[in-house]
Amino acid sequence: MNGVFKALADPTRRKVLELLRQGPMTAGELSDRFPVSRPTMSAHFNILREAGLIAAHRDGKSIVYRLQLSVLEDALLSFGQLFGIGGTAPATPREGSSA
Amino acid sequence: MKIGIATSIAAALFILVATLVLRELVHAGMLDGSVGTRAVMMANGVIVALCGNLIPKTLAAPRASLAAERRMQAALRSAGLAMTLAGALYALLWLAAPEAIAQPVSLGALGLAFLYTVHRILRCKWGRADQTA
Repeated sequence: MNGVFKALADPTRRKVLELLRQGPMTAGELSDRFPVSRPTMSAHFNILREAGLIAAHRDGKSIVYRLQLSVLEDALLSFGQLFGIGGTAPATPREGSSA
Repeated sequence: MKIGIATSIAAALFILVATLVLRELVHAGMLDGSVGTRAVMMANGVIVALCGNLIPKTLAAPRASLAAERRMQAALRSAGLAMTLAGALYALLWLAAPEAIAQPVSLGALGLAFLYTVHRILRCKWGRADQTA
């Protein structure tokens, strides 16, 4: 459960989960939505995956992430978003990205 | 995350043993009959809520299309929420409500949640468009 709280404490990771609520996305699509480097995003994905909040599978050359939240984790995510725990996620996409 | 067979068998054994212990306590006059019934029903409600909580985590193999994947995830989330709430309501009713109210309302809530879950699964299987859920 510690891993879940750690994963949900970061606003960028919460934003990733929010984006995945709309449906599965590739690592590239997700990374393009944030003004941080791909290695940093990769570290975020790893933390989310280790906490069991997202599932990953390979589709050709891409890694596709899917949401894997229990009802309680979903409620914790909504709670974190509602009260902005840990601040808000940087929302500006990287320059040159299409998203 | 999937619930393993060993965990399921352990949960079933726990319910059986707890039921037997409660029955013996009632027979021995250490517990009122209704207390034993309430305890078992509350445990059932908690187990339904715990299983419902884990439903959205039991993702199947990735679907071929994005729309189908969205439908599957939306169905799992809705079914999980419905069963979690029904289980929690079931347990709370058997904890606090008079038995005459707890019995029909808790069963009604569980039945509605079950029907809603079946409805969502069938809608997901038949591929009816539902992007908003």
